[in-house]
Amino acid sequence: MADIEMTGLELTRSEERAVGLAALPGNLMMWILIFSELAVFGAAFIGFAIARVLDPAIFAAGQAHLNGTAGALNTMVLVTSGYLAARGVAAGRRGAVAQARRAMLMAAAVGSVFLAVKAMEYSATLGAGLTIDTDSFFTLYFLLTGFHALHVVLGIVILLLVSRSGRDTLVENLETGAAFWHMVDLVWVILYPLVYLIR
Amino acid sequence: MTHFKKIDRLTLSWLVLMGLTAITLLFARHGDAGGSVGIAGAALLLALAVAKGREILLHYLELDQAGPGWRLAMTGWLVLLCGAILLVTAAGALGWIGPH
Repeated sequence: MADIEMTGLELTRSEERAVGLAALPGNLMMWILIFSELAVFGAAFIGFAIARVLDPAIFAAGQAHLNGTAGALNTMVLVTSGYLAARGVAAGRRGAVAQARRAMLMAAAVGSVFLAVKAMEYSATLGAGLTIDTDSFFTLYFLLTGFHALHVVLGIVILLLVSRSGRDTLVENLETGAAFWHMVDLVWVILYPLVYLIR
Repeated sequence: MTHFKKIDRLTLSWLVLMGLTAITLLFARHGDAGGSVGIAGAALLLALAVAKGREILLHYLELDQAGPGWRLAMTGWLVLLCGAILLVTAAGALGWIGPH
Protein backbone atom coordinates (compact mmCIF):
# COMPACT_ATOMS: atom_id res chain seq x y z
CA MET A 1 0.00 0.00 0.00
CA ALA A 2 2.71 2.40 1.01
CA ASP A 3 4.67 1.41 -2.07
CA ILE A 4 1.76 2.22 -4.35
CA GLU A 5 1.38 5.62 -2.73
CA MET A 6 5.09 6.37 -3.08
CA THR A 7 5.01 5.40 -6.76
CA GLY A 8 2.04 7.68 -7.30
CA LEU A 9 3.89 10.62 -5.72
CA GLU A 10 6.99 9.94 -7.76
CA LEU A 11 5.00 9.91 -10.99
CA THR A 12 3.26 13.17 -10.16
CA ARG A 13 6.59 14.79 -9.34
CA SER A 14 8.34 13.66 -12.50
CA GLU A 15 5.33 14.66 -14.63
CA GLU A 16 5.40 18.13 -13.07
CA ARG A 17 9.12 18.42 -13.63
CA ALA A 18 9.06 17.07 -17.17
CA VAL A 19 9.41 20.27 -19.19
CA GLY A 20 10.78 23.81 -19.11
CA LEU A 21 10.83 25.89 -15.97
CA ALA A 22 8.56 23.42 -14.16
CA ALA A 23 11.43 20.91 -14.33
CA LEU A 24 13.30 22.83 -11.60
CA PRO A 25 12.69 22.06 -7.90
CA GLY A 26 11.02 24.73 -5.75
CA ASN A 27 9.54 28.09 -6.68
CA LEU A 28 10.29 29.61 -10.09
CA MET A 29 11.02 33.05 -8.60
CA MET A 30 13.88 31.54 -6.60
CA TRP A 31 15.40 30.20 -9.81
CA ILE A 32 15.17 33.63 -11.44
CA LEU A 33 17.10 34.96 -8.43
CA ILE A 34 19.60 32.09 -8.71
CA PHE A 35 20.24 32.82 -12.41
CA SER A 36 20.83 36.52 -11.71
CA GLU A 37 23.11 35.73 -8.75
CA LEU A 38 25.17 33.33 -10.86
CA ALA A 39 25.46 35.98 -13.59
CA VAL A 40 26.61 38.65 -11.10
CA PHE A 41 29.09 36.39 -9.27
CA GLY A 42 30.37 35.07 -12.61
CA ALA A 43 31.10 38.60 -13.86
CA ALA A 44 32.74 39.52 -10.53
CA PHE A 45 34.95 36.40 -10.61
CA ILE A 46 36.19 37.16 -14.13
CA GLY A 47 36.78 40.75 -13.01
CA PHE A 48 38.87 39.47 -10.08
CA ALA A 49 40.94 37.22 -12.38
CA ILE A 50 41.61 40.15 -14.75
CA ALA A 51 42.51 42.50 -11.85
CA ARG A 52 45.02 39.89 -10.57
CA VAL A 53 46.72 39.60 -13.94
CA LEU A 54 47.01 43.39 -14.14
CA ASP A 55 48.61 43.65 -10.67
CA PRO A 56 50.20 40.26 -9.84
CA ALA A 57 52.61 41.53 -7.15
CA ILE A 58 49.89 43.24 -5.05
CA PHE A 59 47.62 40.19 -5.38
CA ALA A 60 50.37 37.70 -4.45
CA ALA A 61 51.28 39.76 -1.38
CA GLY A 62 47.61 40.00 -0.36
CA GLN A 63 46.87 36.33 -0.94
CA ALA A 64 49.83 35.37 1.26
CA HIS A 65 47.85 36.81 4.20
CA LEU A 66 44.82 34.57 3.55
CA ASN A 67 44.25 31.34 5.42
CA GLY A 68 43.71 28.69 2.73
CA THR A 69 43.06 26.02 5.36
CA ALA A 70 40.20 28.07 6.81
CA GLY A 71 38.82 28.38 3.28
CA ALA A 72 38.92 24.59 2.80
CA LEU A 73 37.31 24.11 6.21
CA ASN A 74 34.53 26.49 5.20
CA THR A 75 34.04 24.57 1.92
CA MET A 76 33.53 21.41 3.98
CA VAL A 77 31.14 23.28 6.28
CA LEU A 78 29.03 24.51 3.35
CA VAL A 79 28.87 21.20 1.45
CA THR A 80 27.92 19.42 4.71
CA SER A 81 25.22 21.99 5.41
CA GLY A 82 23.99 21.66 1.81
CA TYR A 83 23.87 17.89 2.23
CA LEU A 84 21.72 18.27 5.38
CA ALA A 85 19.37 20.66 3.53
CA ALA A 86 19.04 18.18 0.64
CA ARG A 87 18.29 15.41 3.17
CA GLY A 88 15.65 17.69 4.67
CA VAL A 89 13.98 18.11 1.26
CA ALA A 90 14.02 14.33 0.75
CA ALA A 91 12.52 13.80 4.23
CA GLY A 92 9.79 16.37 3.47
CA ARG A 93 8.87 14.52 0.27
CA ARG A 94 8.62 11.26 2.20
CA GLY A 95 6.19 12.96 4.57
CA ALA A 96 8.64 12.84 7.48
CA VAL A 97 7.81 16.39 8.52
CA ALA A 98 9.60 16.49 11.88
CA GLN A 99 12.71 14.96 10.35
CA ALA A 100 12.61 17.49 7.50
CA ARG A 101 12.34 20.45 9.87
CA ARG A 102 15.16 19.07 12.04
CA ALA A 103 17.43 18.61 9.00
CA MET A 104 16.85 22.24 7.94
CA LEU A 105 17.65 23.52 11.44
CA MET A 106 20.83 21.43 11.45
CA ALA A 107 21.74 22.79 8.01
CA ALA A 108 21.30 26.33 9.35
CA ALA A 109 23.37 25.54 12.46
CA VAL A 110 26.23 24.07 10.41
CA GLY A 111 25.94 27.04 8.03
CA SER A 112 26.51 29.41 10.94
CA VAL A 113 29.92 27.77 11.51
CA PHE A 114 30.89 29.24 8.10
CA LEU A 115 30.20 32.71 9.47
CA ALA A 116 32.19 32.03 12.64
CA VAL A 117 35.23 30.92 10.59
CA LYS A 118 34.78 33.94 8.29
CA ALA A 119 34.64 36.26 11.31
CA MET A 120 37.93 34.78 12.58
CA GLU A 121 39.49 35.32 9.14
CA TYR A 122 38.27 38.91 8.97
CA SER A 123 39.48 39.68 12.48
CA ALA A 124 42.95 38.29 11.62
CA THR A 125 43.07 40.33 8.41
CA LEU A 126 41.76 43.52 9.98
CA GLY A 127 43.98 42.91 13.04
CA ALA A 128 47.00 42.92 10.73
CA GLY A 129 45.90 46.38 9.56
CA LEU A 130 44.63 45.11 6.20
CA THR A 131 41.31 46.73 5.32
CA ILE A 132 39.09 47.26 2.28
CA ASP A 133 41.12 50.43 1.61
CA THR A 134 44.57 48.77 1.75
CA ASP A 135 44.95 47.95 -1.96
CA SER A 136 43.05 46.61 -4.97
CA PHE A 137 43.42 43.01 -3.76
CA PHE A 138 41.90 43.66 -0.34
CA THR A 139 39.13 45.81 -1.83
CA LEU A 140 38.07 42.91 -4.07
CA TYR A 141 38.70 40.33 -1.33
CA PHE A 142 36.40 42.06 1.15
CA LEU A 143 33.78 42.87 -1.49
CA LEU A 144 33.60 39.32 -2.93
CA THR A 145 33.81 37.39 0.34
CA GLY A 146 31.61 39.92 2.14
CA PHE A 147 28.94 39.79 -0.58
CA HIS A 148 29.06 35.99 -0.44
CA ALA A 149 28.92 35.96 3.39
CA LEU A 150 25.79 38.16 3.25
CA HIS A 151 24.24 35.45 1.06
CA VAL A 152 25.18 32.90 3.73
CA VAL A 153 23.40 35.03 6.34
CA LEU A 154 20.33 35.32 4.11
CA GLY A 155 20.48 31.59 3.33
CA ILE A 156 20.47 30.71 7.04
CA VAL A 157 17.45 32.99 7.58
CA ILE A 158 15.67 31.33 4.62
CA LEU A 159 16.44 27.82 5.96
CA LEU A 160 15.02 28.81 9.37
CA LEU A 161 11.91 30.29 7.74
CA VAL A 162 11.15 27.32 5.47
CA SER A 163 11.66 24.89 8.35
CA ARG A 164 8.62 26.52 9.96
CA SER A 165 6.35 26.10 6.90
CA GLY A 166 2.95 24.50 7.34
CA ARG A 167 2.39 21.00 6.02
CA ASP A 168 0.61 22.18 2.84
CA THR A 169 3.48 24.26 1.57
CA LEU A 170 6.35 22.46 3.30
CA VAL A 171 7.82 20.51 0.38
CA GLU A 172 7.82 23.40 -2.10
CA ASN A 173 9.22 25.80 0.50
CA LEU A 174 11.94 23.33 1.52
CA GLU A 175 12.89 22.88 -2.15
CA THR A 176 12.93 26.65 -2.68
CA GLY A 177 15.03 27.38 0.41
CA ALA A 178 17.44 24.53 -0.31
CA ALA A 179 17.86 25.72 -3.92
CA PHE A 180 19.05 29.14 -2.68
CA TRP A 181 21.37 27.45 -0.18
CA HIS A 182 22.90 25.19 -2.85
CA MET A 183 23.50 28.27 -5.04
CA VAL A 184 25.47 29.87 -2.16
CA ASP A 185 27.45 26.61 -1.97
CA LEU A 186 28.07 26.54 -5.73
CA VAL A 187 29.37 30.13 -5.75
CA TRP A 188 31.76 29.34 -2.87
CA VAL A 189 33.37 26.30 -4.55
CA ILE A 190 34.55 28.69 -7.32
CA LEU A 191 35.29 31.68 -5.07
CA TYR A 192 37.52 29.62 -2.77
CA PRO A 193 40.15 28.46 -5.31
CA LEU A 194 39.93 31.75 -7.23
CA VAL A 195 40.60 34.05 -4.27
CA TYR A 196 42.57 31.82 -1.87
CA LEU A 197 44.55 29.30 -3.90
CA ILE A 198 45.30 30.40 -7.46
CA ARG A 199 48.18 32.81 -7.57
CA MET B 1 30.45 -4.26 1.54
CA THR B 2 26.71 -4.43 2.23
CA HIS B 3 27.12 -1.23 4.19
CA PHE B 4 28.77 0.45 1.19
CA LYS B 5 25.84 -0.51 -1.04
CA LYS B 6 23.50 1.35 1.29
CA ILE B 7 25.10 4.71 0.46
CA ASP B 8 22.59 6.71 -1.60
CA ARG B 9 23.56 9.06 -4.43
CA LEU B 10 23.20 12.19 -2.30
CA THR B 11 25.52 10.83 0.41
CA LEU B 12 27.98 9.78 -2.28
CA SER B 13 27.92 13.38 -3.57
CA TRP B 14 28.68 14.70 -0.10
CA LEU B 15 31.61 12.26 0.25
CA VAL B 16 32.92 13.25 -3.19
CA LEU B 17 32.67 16.95 -2.26
CA MET B 18 34.52 16.37 1.01
CA GLY B 19 37.21 14.32 -0.76
CA LEU B 20 37.76 16.88 -3.52
CA THR B 21 37.98 19.65 -0.90
CA ALA B 22 40.57 17.63 1.02
CA ILE B 23 42.74 17.64 -2.14
CA THR B 24 42.66 21.46 -2.16
CA LEU B 25 44.19 21.43 1.34
CA LEU B 26 47.49 20.43 -0.29
CA PHE B 27 47.38 23.70 -2.20
CA ALA B 28 46.44 25.64 0.92
CA ARG B 29 49.76 24.54 2.49
CA HIS B 30 51.67 25.18 -0.67
CA GLY B 31 50.06 28.61 -0.85
CA ASP B 32 51.21 29.49 2.65
CA ALA B 33 54.77 28.83 1.51
CA GLY B 34 54.26 31.64 -0.97
CA GLY B 35 54.85 30.05 -4.39
CA SER B 36 52.76 30.40 -7.54
CA VAL B 37 50.62 27.40 -8.44
CA GLY B 38 51.42 27.89 -12.14
CA ILE B 39 49.09 27.28 -15.08
CA ALA B 40 48.86 23.53 -14.40
CA GLY B 41 48.06 24.15 -10.72
CA ALA B 42 45.38 26.68 -11.67
CA ALA B 43 43.94 24.22 -14.20
CA LEU B 44 43.82 21.46 -11.57
CA LEU B 45 42.18 23.73 -8.96
CA LEU B 46 39.58 24.92 -11.48
CA ALA B 47 38.94 21.34 -12.62
CA LEU B 48 38.31 20.45 -8.97
CA ALA B 49 35.92 23.42 -8.75
CA VAL B 50 34.06 22.19 -11.86
CA ALA B 51 33.85 18.67 -10.39
CA LYS B 52 32.51 20.04 -7.10
CA GLY B 53 30.10 22.42 -8.83
CA ARG B 54 28.81 19.58 -11.01
CA GLU B 55 28.02 17.43 -7.95
CA ILE B 56 26.14 20.38 -6.41
CA LEU B 57 24.22 21.12 -9.63
CA LEU B 58 23.26 17.54 -10.44
CA HIS B 59 22.62 16.06 -7.01
CA TYR B 60 22.06 18.91 -4.52
CA LEU B 61 20.07 21.09 -6.96
CA GLU B 62 18.69 17.92 -8.58
CA LEU B 63 19.33 18.94 -12.17
CA ASP B 64 19.89 15.22 -12.83
CA GLN B 65 16.08 15.06 -12.81
CA ALA B 66 15.44 18.31 -14.67
CA GLY B 67 16.19 17.23 -18.26
CA PRO B 68 19.21 17.67 -20.55
CA GLY B 69 18.53 21.34 -21.37
CA TRP B 70 18.93 22.56 -17.79
CA ARG B 71 21.89 20.25 -17.16
CA LEU B 72 23.66 21.61 -20.23
CA ALA B 73 22.84 25.25 -19.46
CA MET B 74 23.96 25.12 -15.83
CA THR B 75 27.04 22.92 -16.19
CA GLY B 76 27.81 25.02 -19.29
CA TRP B 77 27.84 28.18 -17.11
CA LEU B 78 30.15 26.42 -14.66
CA VAL B 79 32.60 25.16 -17.30
CA LEU B 80 32.62 28.45 -19.24
CA LEU B 81 33.21 30.52 -16.10
CA CYS B 82 36.07 28.34 -14.84
CA GLY B 83 37.44 28.14 -18.39
CA ALA B 84 37.42 31.94 -18.65
CA ILE B 85 39.19 32.26 -15.29
CA LEU B 86 41.83 29.77 -16.45
CA LEU B 87 42.26 31.59 -19.77
CA VAL B 88 42.79 34.95 -18.05
CA THR B 89 45.17 33.40 -15.48
CA ALA B 90 47.17 31.60 -18.20
CA ALA B 91 47.33 34.75 -20.34
CA GLY B 92 48.81 36.56 -17.35
CA ALA B 93 51.31 33.79 -16.57
CA LEU B 94 52.43 33.71 -20.21
CA GLY B 95 52.83 37.49 -20.26
CA TRP B 96 50.15 38.07 -22.93
CA ILE B 97 48.44 40.49 -20.59
CA GLY B 98 49.97 42.13 -17.57
CA PRO B 99 50.81 45.33 -15.74
CA HIS B 100 51.51 48.33 -17.92
